[in-house]
Amino acid sequence: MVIKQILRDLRKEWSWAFFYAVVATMIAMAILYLSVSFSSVQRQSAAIRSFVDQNVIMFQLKTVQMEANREATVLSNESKQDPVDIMDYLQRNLSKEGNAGSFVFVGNDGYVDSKYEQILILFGKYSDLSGLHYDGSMALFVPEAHKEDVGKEFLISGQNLRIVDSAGSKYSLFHPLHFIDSDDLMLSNTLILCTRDFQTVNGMFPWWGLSSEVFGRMVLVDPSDKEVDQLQRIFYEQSGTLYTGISTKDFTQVTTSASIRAHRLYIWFYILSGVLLLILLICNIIRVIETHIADYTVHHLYGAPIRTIQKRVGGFVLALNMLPIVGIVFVLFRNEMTLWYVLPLGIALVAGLCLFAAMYASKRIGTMNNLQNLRRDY
Amino acid sequence: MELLSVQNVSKSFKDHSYTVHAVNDVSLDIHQGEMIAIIGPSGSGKTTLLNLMGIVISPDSGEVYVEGQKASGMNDTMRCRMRNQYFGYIVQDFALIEEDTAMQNILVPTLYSKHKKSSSEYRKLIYSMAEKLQVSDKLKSTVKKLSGGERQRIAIIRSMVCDQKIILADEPTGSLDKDNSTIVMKCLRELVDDFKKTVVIVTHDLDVARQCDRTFNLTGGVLTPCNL
Repeated sequence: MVIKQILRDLRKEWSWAFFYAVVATMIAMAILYLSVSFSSVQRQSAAIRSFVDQNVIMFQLKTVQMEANREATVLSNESKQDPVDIMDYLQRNLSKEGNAGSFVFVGNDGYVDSKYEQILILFGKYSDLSGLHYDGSMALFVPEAHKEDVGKEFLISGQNLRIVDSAGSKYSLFHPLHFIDSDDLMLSNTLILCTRDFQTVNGMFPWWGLSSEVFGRMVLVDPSDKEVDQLQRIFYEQSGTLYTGISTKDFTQVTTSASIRAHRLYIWFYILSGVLLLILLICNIIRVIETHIADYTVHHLYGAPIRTIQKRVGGFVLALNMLPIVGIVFVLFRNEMTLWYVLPLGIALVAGLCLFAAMYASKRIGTMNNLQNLRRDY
Repeated sequence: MELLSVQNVSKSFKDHSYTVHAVNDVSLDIHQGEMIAIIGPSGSGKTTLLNLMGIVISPDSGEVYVEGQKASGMNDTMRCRMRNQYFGYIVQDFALIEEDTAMQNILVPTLYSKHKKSSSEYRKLIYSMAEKLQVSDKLKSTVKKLSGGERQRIAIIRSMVCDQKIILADEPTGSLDKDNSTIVMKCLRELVDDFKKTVVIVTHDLDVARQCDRTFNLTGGVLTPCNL
């Protein structure tokens, strides 16, 4: 009987119920998607802070200038005077004593077990920057998904290497120009090779021409001006183009910080929209109860206990929120999003609304529990 | 035994800083098949007394008995059951659910009835009552399409669809013109004479009060018998 009455109440308010269901689903989904995206940006932000604290300098292509470039001429003259051996430079600076770091992805062309689609090679300081610490000149790490391999040994191009540890579930790869999140499939099926011996690794993967890629992502940890100048000169000698060193702090200030600000803005916008919708919903619940108060009073006069009226009003609010909740759960399920906190939070919110509506209706009938409720001028 | 007995009932309301004694030590015995009028000026406590009689609200002191059963001390569910079984309500503004049909409105008491009949039995009963009150062709119409007189007749049918013994009418002719008032009063009189129903009418209208068996005047919460 109560269900029948709830359905009738819903039919009377169908336009609001439909409008509310659509808008509530849209806002909830927008908040959820932005939260997911924002949590990724936040993780990136943590990596940025670590790079900034360690004064990591990255290199980027300098903007082309139309007039004669004095800096290029100086660099060109310097390089003529003091040519640098590239392999020596990489071997020295990517060693334990050096302060350079870089990374390269190589495909797994039968080097190791085929479940690993690729090998990520972290050179020099990059393993420390990524939070992977080891002794010796080389070590293997596995992603969390394959931690059962820890302790095993792999023979890669004649080198017998032991897997020392798992990289952990939160392992992500950051570079001011790239960010690969821990959830990314690119990391979950990747074997991680950390090395402080560039030449040996270069010899292990002769077909990959590692040096050019290593240069492309080269960073220096807390370098002197002289070290920055030297690397800029090597870039010029190698590619004929000018690269310039820029601190992570300066670089991210104009890129990632803006992205974080934009995300925050969007999230606040949707949260405020959600709060507004909630206020609208509460106002509308009160309006519906006030509109139907004569209806509820008639039922109460003719035998409906207050508890039945409470069930009817609470059920109406529950039904009103059923569609958005089901919609959100469906979209989360389809997108394999495991936001465990969303469902209990949603249920708690809806339960609170139902309770509020039931209490409000019973209080209205309780305090005005007489034939006055049925007078038109009331 | 009295069908409805009110013994030394008082009820007061707090209105900000002062207390209003709406009903003050009222006693009244009502028998089956009686038609009683309670008259009095606005704000004299007539509707409050009707609410107390219909066990819609509880008295501050005193007792209300329905067929010898004491209403005080009953919980909400028991009071609701008693209201459903014994009372029908008719009010000035009809108390009908505007968006629903006349039939749906009439069926409201049957939803909570302890002695449920089948749907077809209820419909048969409602059609016979509606024919008598000349609104049988209006049962499928939504209430908002009905005139005042038709609405009040629908409210009368609702007040006796579960065979309630007592009909409490609060200004039943207050919103009606002279012709419709006459029709409604005729209906109520027939309920008393033909079906032995008990009707208690609260009214301003002395013509209405004159058609009742007994008349009482309520002034300042005090009830006294009067002759018109």
